[in-house]
Amino acid sequence: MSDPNAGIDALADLLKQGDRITAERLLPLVYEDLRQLARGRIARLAPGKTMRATELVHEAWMRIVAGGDPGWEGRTHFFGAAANAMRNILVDQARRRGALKRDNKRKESLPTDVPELEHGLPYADILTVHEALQELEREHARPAQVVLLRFFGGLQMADIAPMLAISLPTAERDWRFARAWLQDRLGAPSSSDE
Amino acid sequence: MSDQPDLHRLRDLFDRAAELDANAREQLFASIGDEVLIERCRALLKQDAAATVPALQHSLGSMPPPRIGNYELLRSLGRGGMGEVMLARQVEPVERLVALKFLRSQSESPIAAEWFEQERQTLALMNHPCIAQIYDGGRTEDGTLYLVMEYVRGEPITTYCDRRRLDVHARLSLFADVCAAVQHAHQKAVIHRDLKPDNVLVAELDGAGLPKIIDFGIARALSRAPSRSLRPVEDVSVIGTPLYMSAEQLEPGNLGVDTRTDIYSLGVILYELLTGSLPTTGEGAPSVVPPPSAAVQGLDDVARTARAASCSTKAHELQRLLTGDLDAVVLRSMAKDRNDRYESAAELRADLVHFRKHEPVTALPPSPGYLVRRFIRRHRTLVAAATLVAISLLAVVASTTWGMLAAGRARDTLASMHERDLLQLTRVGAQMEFTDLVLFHLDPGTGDSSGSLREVLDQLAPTIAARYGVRPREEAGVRASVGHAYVAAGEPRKAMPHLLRAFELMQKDGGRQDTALLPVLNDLARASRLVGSSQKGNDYLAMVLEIGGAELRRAEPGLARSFDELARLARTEGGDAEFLRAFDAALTTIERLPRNDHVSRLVVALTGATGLMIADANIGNGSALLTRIGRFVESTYDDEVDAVIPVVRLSERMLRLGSLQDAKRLAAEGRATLDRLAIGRHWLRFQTERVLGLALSLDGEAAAGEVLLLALREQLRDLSPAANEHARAAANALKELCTRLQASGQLAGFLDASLLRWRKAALGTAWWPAEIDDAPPLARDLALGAVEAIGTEDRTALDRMTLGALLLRHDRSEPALVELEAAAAKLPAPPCELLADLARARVRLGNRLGAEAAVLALEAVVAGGDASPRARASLARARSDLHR
Repeated sequence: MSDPNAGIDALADLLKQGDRITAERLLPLVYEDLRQLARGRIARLAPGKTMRATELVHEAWMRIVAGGDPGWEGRTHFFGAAANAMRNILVDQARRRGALKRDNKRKESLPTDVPELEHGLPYADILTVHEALQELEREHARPAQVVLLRFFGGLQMADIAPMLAISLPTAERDWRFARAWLQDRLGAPSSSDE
Repeated sequence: MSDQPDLHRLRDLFDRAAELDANAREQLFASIGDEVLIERCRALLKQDAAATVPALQHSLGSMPPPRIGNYELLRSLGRGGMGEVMLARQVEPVERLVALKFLRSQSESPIAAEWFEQERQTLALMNHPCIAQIYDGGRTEDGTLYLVMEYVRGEPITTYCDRRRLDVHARLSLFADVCAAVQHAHQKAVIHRDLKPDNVLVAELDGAGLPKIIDFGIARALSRAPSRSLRPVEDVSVIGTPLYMSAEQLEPGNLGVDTRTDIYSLGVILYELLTGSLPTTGEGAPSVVPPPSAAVQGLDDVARTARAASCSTKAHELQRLLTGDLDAVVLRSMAKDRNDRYESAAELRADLVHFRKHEPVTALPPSPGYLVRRFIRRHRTLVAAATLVAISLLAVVASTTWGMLAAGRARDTLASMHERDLLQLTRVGAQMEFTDLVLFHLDPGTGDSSGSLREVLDQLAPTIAARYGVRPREEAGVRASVGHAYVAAGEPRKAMPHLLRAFELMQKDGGRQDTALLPVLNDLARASRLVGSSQKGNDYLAMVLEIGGAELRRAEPGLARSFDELARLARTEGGDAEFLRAFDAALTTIERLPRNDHVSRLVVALTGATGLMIADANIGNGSALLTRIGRFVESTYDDEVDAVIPVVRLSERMLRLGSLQDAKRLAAEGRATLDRLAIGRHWLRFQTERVLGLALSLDGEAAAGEVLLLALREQLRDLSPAANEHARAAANALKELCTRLQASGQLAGFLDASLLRWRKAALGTAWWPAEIDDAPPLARDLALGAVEAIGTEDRTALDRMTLGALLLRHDRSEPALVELEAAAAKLPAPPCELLADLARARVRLGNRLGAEAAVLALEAVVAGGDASPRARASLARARSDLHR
């Protein structure tokens, strides 16, 4: 995919097909687009600055809208896919770094094809979180979806609720539950402790 | 999946339980019976209670940073006892890295938010290079309260010093900066409560270490914020690090923590800086602290050598440095009983400076002035509150309350704030800090003050008995403060009952220190004089002198006799000349005492009382005395605001006496200190610049003085009519200058020069209205002051014309018309500008016919051959006024 716009165009076209598209078709495209975008953007960033993952998602969306707004359906599809794609990118990075750490010799053979995106914690934690989220998805799919859109997609609750076709209070309740569930699963401290 | 129904039930139960309070939850659980399900739900609810956005961010590390307001959360900096701290990037209005400190919210109540906001504003008032600044604060969408603070990159002060192998003197120098910062915060009534090396970071700046204290006052701000009630002080003793914490703070349920708890923590940090170890490894404050030198001596040879090496010195040298003075300083700071500690961080710092200058430290007993110092140390705040300093601060109290109202706060908030502060501060026994609080917290000086202060006091006063009746010490303190403030508000009669009651309570108090009576007695003396009982006032003064003298006797037996004599003289009506001579003699003895901050404060205190004794007839002698006191104080005071106060007051006295050189010098010094302290729109600044400007103007530096006074006038141009006396006086300094010059017959000469500087003619020549219109507004003010200073009888017609023109342009049409009419009547051929002004004044006052007459006269002048541009412009102006 040498033409950076080819992916976008394909994606935009796909999104405009509305409910006929499937996540299986969309995800690889979004994934690739986000990686492309990250490579291009990061090269232009001032030294020492990094780009945040959600910023990237929103930037990708802006490029799609610039080619013609794919409408509400398209928007829902896109952010659903983008949040997942972003999560995959971060998990890939974490795995790669884990591998690098374990095996210095393989450094050469593992090119960093996407510059690091900014986030909070060590990579090992990302994998833990990823696993926890997978578990939450199995047990409580919709709350997991809210977490995904909110953090990996960078969306506000007011945007998330209609995307999942639920009311805002329901979305808030999902969020509250998911938050408690994840913290419990991750063994986060429940009270101030040092 | 087989367990799917359970999952649905869990979710359902969670949603229902989450909405309920604890009792209702238990009822709900009791109705269910599935223990596994309930336990699982409980676990989730526990997490729910703990959950905050940052906490989740913390645990879901990979998730991209959310944004809160203008702040993008970047990463966790750690978790403290109070909650999460995040590194964040501020996006607007400037991009910078900041630290966000979150507090788990337990209450959504607006009251909690209001407290938090008040605390935040208080903290934001701290402004010191060595204190991490509080920028902002707020509440996230899920109700979590947060503070935004300067992000400090640095390492703990102990680590920093050891890693760089700083020697003892370099360590003390860094530590002295820390003390200065703590003092700054204490002056703003902010207590840290959790000082420890982790909160004193040293950042490298241009190769030098700059200490920064983080989390100042956060403990209180955060612990108070979520309280559901309005009870002012929550138990914060649990917050903080026991190893660095004072005994009184560790005491369970003890709410009476004051600034001296920070002194203790500073002592522990100093201990660690010097010895590399803590005085105790156990929990809490040790009952016996081994001196630092003993701690080093107690190490084995290898450890001792290593310790010395990290201080870049030899073991025996380190031991020698610590023994004696530094031991005493550390132990004094760490005294178990806070009354035995340094009274302030400034005192601790001063002792370190003494040590570095090889002067005796106050912490060490055997020096001759020890007892005096100890006496003042214990009671410094009270002693200082009395007196000259307090008298100056009266004006502060009076002037600053307005700032609160101006800030738009509700009156209740104002009253409750005062009450809260009074309560807290009287616990510290520190009236001084009450005034300090007002002094520092509010934008002073430019509005109505005493009016609102009186309202607050009137609200507060009737509640004292009910509130504090069972706690006589607190009642005494509150009444003393209220009495003090009433005197400040110009209500000596209302002040009296409170002061008398405070005095009575203090006398009954078995554990009292006599010196605690000093401020109350000083206020009583002042109030008595204000209500006309000067004999009573003198009696109170005599008591002040007796108490002060008795304390001084311990240091210098000769002084006691002097003060007994002074007390006797104070009681003698009209004996002020003698009194001054006696005070002079006493001062000569005092001047022989070792000079330090404490003696200075006592001297200032006694001077405050005796200042009332200086009658006008003796003002010459009295001011010579004040000058000597001023020198004495100047040479010893720290760079603190209260050091400026006597200096400025002296300069004012000197000006009144005509000692212009002295006034100039003192005011310039005061101003330099204010500059250094970055004190801007403040009554002290106004007063200083007023005195300096006047002294310069009167002492042959007219241009410089005038620039200063004009700038002052400009700054205070839009002063409300109710502004405090200092601001008003400053705003009218130009007029005052003119009056003074007039009195000494120098006005004309001065104005010649001055008006010339504004390219204008001197008096005796008209200042043409057209020129007035062109002149800078300040020049108009100056000219108005100048002409008004000329007595009505002495004004020439041209003076009157100028004055009328000026008044007209100050929208004072009526007096303007009087002057203009008088000028026109006297002048055989009124100039066209005068006629135009007449027309304008008459139009404004509704006399159209008169105005038309003036325009006709003007037309006649122009028709009569004066076709000059001036004449034509005047006519055009008058016609346009007429048709408006």
